[in-house]
Amino acid sequence: MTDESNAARWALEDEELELLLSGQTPAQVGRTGNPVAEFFADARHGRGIAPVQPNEELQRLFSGANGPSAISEWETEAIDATRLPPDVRGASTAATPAVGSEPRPTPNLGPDPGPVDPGPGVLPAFGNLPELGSLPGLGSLPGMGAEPGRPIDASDPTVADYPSWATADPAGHTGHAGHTGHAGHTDHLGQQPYRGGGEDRELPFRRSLAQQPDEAGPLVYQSSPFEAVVAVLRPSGSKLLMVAALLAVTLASIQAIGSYNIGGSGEVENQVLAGPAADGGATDDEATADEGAATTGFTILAPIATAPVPSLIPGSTQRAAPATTEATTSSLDSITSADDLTGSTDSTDVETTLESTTTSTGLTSSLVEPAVTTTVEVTTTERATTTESVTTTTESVTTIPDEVTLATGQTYTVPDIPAGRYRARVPLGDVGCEADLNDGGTLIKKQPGTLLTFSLGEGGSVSLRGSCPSTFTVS
Amino acid sequence: MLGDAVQGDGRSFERLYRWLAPQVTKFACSRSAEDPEGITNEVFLRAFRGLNSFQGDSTQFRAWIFAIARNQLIDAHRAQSRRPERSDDVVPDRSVEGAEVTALDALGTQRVVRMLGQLSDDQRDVILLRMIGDLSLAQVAAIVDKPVTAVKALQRRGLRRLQQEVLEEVVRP
Repeated sequence: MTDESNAARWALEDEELELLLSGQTPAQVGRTGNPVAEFFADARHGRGIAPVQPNEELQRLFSGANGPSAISEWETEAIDATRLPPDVRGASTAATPAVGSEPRPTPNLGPDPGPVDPGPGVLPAFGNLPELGSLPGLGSLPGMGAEPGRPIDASDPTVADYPSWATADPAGHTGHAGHTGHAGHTDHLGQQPYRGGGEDRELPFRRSLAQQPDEAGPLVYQSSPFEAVVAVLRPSGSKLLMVAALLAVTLASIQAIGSYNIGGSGEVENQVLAGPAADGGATDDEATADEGAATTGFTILAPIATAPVPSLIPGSTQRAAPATTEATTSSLDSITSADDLTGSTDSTDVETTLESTTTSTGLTSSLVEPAVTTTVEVTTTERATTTESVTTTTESVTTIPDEVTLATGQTYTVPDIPAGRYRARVPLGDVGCEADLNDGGTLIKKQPGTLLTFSLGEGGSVSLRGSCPSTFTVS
Repeated sequence: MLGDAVQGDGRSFERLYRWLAPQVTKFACSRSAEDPEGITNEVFLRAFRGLNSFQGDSTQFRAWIFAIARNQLIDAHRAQSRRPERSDDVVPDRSVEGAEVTALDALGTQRVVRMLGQLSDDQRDVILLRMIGDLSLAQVAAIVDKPVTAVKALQRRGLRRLQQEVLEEVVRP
């Protein structure tokens, strides 16, 4: 059912892609042809992969029992129900508690709950604090239920909402919340999945509790904020410490909420937000972020996307969407040789060049490295609202060397050597140095150890004979 | 068929599913999704929920499905990265993810997926949407919310990078 016209439309580009993807040996993947190209071809046509088995919801849709208009009525129930393990699925239609919702009552834990000892423990008080209960995860921490020590009601239908630990846990281990006030006894609950198995990753504290066996002696808690609080509370039990601990737990939870809700890289965030609105994409994260803001009062700030600054690399292709950047780039593009830069260019000429370049290249321009050997300085670039005015100043500089080497017996002509005044001391020896100045016909003869000087003007030349210095200072 | 599906005909929707589910699964595989089949199912569930509001032909439907798939993958990736690491978690053996993946391994899928992993997210998205989604540049641009010219550039750079990866595999002992 591939749209043939669509495939034909970019067939040429496919050829380009094939060329780009060529250059490997088939032996690398044990197949003939381009492995990457074949991978894409197989994927595009659905080859090489087993038929995807639709899940139960989709099968229900396929059976025609529910149309698109009907799915909204049961989608929550259906999806939540399938997330429950099979042993509890369908036993109850009660919605799985969302993270951050109010604390649920302590669940029933078996037909024979055994004696329930509320005990003097301080932990049960956690569950009675509504503000803690509203924080994600805290309200559902094991042993912190809203009704610690509540007698077990075996007929409570919410039993079905809880997974296998409800029945696997031996009777008598119930009432952990207020058992003896030992936080360590909550670990028994902590061993169990939070809501029907899976989806328990929102509980940052539970896992470490779960590692403690029920019969263990002194509990050695791992490093989590909650456990640290428990460790403080246990020996003293004072109310003051308890209040401080509550504050610590609250702060830790808020930190957890913030880190969870704000998490993700800016790039991904942008991608999610950029998705089509109708596809329902990125709803989970956005919903989580909203939820976090509502419960904590935080303001979730969207990440600031930073657009990359295009680099002008010679030979590379740049997309010049912004008008200002494009104009500057195009003006540089028009400079392709030294001829373009000779002399002082009139502003009007440059503007005309800009327009023609923009018209011919559209939004894409290539920067060609100018073949300029002289020193070039683009001194001013002025940009008006509607027109561009670029003033290019070209400056050719003739550098006069400090010293010039002249060999005896050769004739040197300006501009082979620069015009100027030459000075050098004739080296010591038996023979002096003679310099013929052809421009004026003056012969200069100097003895060793004396200073030989001569001046060359435009078109002048000099030839040296005898024992002459090799290096002359030019001024 | 698409019109019937929009009207709530389950059989028609199933045919759409059979048509595009393999590509979506491969798309998810190529983006190193943990559960490609689960992603695929969720994509079509989302699509069905929004099918009432969909307007367009089969080509547009295809693009729409892949747009949902991309967002679903981003969501899944973020959820995965947000999940705290726990030492007592049982790490699943990814070498036994399913018969279909095993079969694909023999075809060099993992090697290509690894190469794709060397690309930037944008490059990989563009290439996968183009090559697997069979979408036009304009459709891809709409999905990734970038200009067509940017999509072209991403495609070119991504493919060159892939080519480089292939060549490096050749010279690699």
